[in-house]
Amino acid sequence: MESLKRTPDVQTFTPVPAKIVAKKEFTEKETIFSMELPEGMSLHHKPLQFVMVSIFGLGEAPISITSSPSEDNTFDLCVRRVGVLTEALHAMSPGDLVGVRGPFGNGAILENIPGRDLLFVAGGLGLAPLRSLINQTAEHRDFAGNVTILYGCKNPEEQLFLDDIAKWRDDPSIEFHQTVDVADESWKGNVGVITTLFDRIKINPRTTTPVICGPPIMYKFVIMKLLAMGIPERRIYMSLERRMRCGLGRCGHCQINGVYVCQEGPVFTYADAKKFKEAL
Amino acid sequence: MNRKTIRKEDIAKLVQHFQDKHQVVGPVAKEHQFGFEPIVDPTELRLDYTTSILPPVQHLYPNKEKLLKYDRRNPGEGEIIVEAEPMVLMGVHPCDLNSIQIVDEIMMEDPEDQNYMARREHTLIVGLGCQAPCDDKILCYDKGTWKAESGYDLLLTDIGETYILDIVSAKAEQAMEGFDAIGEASHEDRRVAQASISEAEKNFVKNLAMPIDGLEHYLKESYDDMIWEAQGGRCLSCGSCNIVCPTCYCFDTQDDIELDLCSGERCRTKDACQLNNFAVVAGGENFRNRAGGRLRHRIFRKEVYLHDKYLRSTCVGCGRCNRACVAGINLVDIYNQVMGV
Repeated sequence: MESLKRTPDVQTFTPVPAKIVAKKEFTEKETIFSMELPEGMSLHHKPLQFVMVSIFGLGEAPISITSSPSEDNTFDLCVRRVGVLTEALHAMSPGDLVGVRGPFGNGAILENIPGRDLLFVAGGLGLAPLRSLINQTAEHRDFAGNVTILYGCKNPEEQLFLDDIAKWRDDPSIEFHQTVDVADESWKGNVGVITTLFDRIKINPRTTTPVICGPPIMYKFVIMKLLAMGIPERRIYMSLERRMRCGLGRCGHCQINGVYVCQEGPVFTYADAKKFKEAL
Repeated sequence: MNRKTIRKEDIAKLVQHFQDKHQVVGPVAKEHQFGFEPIVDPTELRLDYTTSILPPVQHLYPNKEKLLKYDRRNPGEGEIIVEAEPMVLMGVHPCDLNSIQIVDEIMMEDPEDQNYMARREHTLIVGLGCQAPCDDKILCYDKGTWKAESGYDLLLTDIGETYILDIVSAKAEQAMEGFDAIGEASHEDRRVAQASISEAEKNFVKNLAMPIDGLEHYLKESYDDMIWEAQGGRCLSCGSCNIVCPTCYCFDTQDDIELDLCSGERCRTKDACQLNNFAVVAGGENFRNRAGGRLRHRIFRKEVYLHDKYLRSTCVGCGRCNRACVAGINLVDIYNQVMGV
C-alpha cells in the first residue's frame, strides 16, 4: 500500500530532525534507539535499508534500520559504539534530536524473495538489519513457509535483542538456533562458529531462500555450507555493507569494483556478488 | 555560431569586459608551472600555458565546498548551501573541456548534484585549442581528447597575431554584448583557422603502441595479473594523482564548527581512493588494503567501471596524474604494458 506520507530527503544532503524517544542498552557497546520523525512523515523503508544519521559538529554515519517496515513515523536503530559519532549518540537521551536522511539502498522485498522457506543467518551486529526482515516475516507469516533463524555471536554477553530471541524461541512457527564462539558458565547452548549450527537444521534446498548478514569473514563459510546443501547461487541473498559517506551514489567509498553499494546494494544475490572481486 | 576575430592584445580587454558581471578564472603562472586562478590583473592571464597543476574543473567542483549550514542549538535541521556566482572559465584546453562534459554527465545523473549544477549554470566556458602537446605523459591524441567539438560557450583558435573567436551559445552572445574590440572573421581567417588546426595536429603523436579501443578489453583481462602488485609496489599512497585528476569526484564529508561551538557548516572535501583507508568499513576491515589493488581501482574506474556505465572512458589523458606521481607511476607505460606492446 502506497502511503501519502512524506519521506525524508533521499536526493540531497538535507537531513530531517528525528527525536530519540526511547533508548535501551543491550551490551556495553550496543544500544537500541527508538526514533520518531516529525508528524506526517514516514521512512517507508524496506528491510536491510539504512539511514544516514547526523550529529552536527561531528558528522554523519550510515546506520541500518532494525525495525520492520511501518507506516507511522517511528523506526529503530541499533548502534554499536565504535567512533566519534556513535559515541556521541550513545551519550544522548530520550528527547534529544539528531538529523536523518534516507532510507537508502535497495533493501529486501519479502514478496519478491523466491521460495517459500526462509533461512536467516545472522552474525554479531548483522542481526540488527536482519531483524527488520525477520520481524516483517513474523508479522506477515503467510508470505513464508518454514522460517529458520541461525544466530551466532562471540560470547553470551554480546547477544543482542534478547526480547526478540525469547519471542522467536517461543514461536512454534519459527525454528531458532543460537551459538557463541566462546561460552561462559551461564551458557547452556551450542558453542562454536555459526556453521556448526547447520548440522542441526534440515532444510529443503529447492524451496529455501537464505538471507545472510554478518561480519565479512562469515560469508565465505556460510555460503560454502549453503552451496553444499544444494541451494542455487541466485537464491542466496546477502547484505554487503560498506561505510557510505553520501548514500547518493557519488562519494565512492562504498564502491565494490564498479558497483555503488548505497544504490545497487546492500542486498545482492551470491550469483551477482561472486562477480565482484572485492566483495568478500 | 558567430565567428569573430580578436587581436591577442585585446584579450585583456575581453577579460575586463567579462569582469563587469563575472569572476574570471584562467591560467596564470605559478613559478614554472600554471594554475587556474581568479584573474585580478587581466595581463596575468597566460593563454600560452601548457597545462595547469590542478584542473579548471576545481572551480566547478571545488576541493572543499560547503553543503549545509547548521546550528547545534537546532539539531537535525540544516540549511542547504548552494554557492554559485557568475564565472567565466577562460582558456580551457580540449582535454579539460572533455573532462567537464564527463563530470557534467555524472553530476546531472539522478539524484542531480545541486551544488555542481548551480555553479555549472552560472559558468561561461571559453575553450582554447591546443597547438602542441604538453609533454610525452599524455594520452589525449590516443583518446581523441586533444580537441573538443563541444563543451564551450566560446572558443579561441590561435592563428598568429589574432585568435578566431567562435561565439557558440546564447549565453555567450549575451555576455559579449557591448564588447566591440572584435572583428568579423573573413573567409581567409576561416581558412587559416582550419589550416592551423591541421597544422597543430601534426605536432601530436600517439603514445600508445596500439589503438586505444582495445584497452578496456586488455584491462579486464589483466585484473588478476601481477602487474598491479608490481606497479603498485612503488605507490606511496599519497593520493596526488586523485587530487589533480579532472574527473576524480570521490569525496568525504566533515563538519566544520565556529569558535562558538554551535554554528558551523558541513563540507565535502575531495577524497582519494589511493589513500590506504579509503575502503575501510565498520569493524576495521579494509577491502582495498594493498596499493596495487588501489592503483587498479583508480584505473578500472576510469577505463572499465565508469566506461561501462557512461559508454566512454572517463580518463581524458591529460597526463596530470603521471606528472604528479612522486613514484613515477605512469599510465602511458602501464597501458602499453597491459596491452603487451
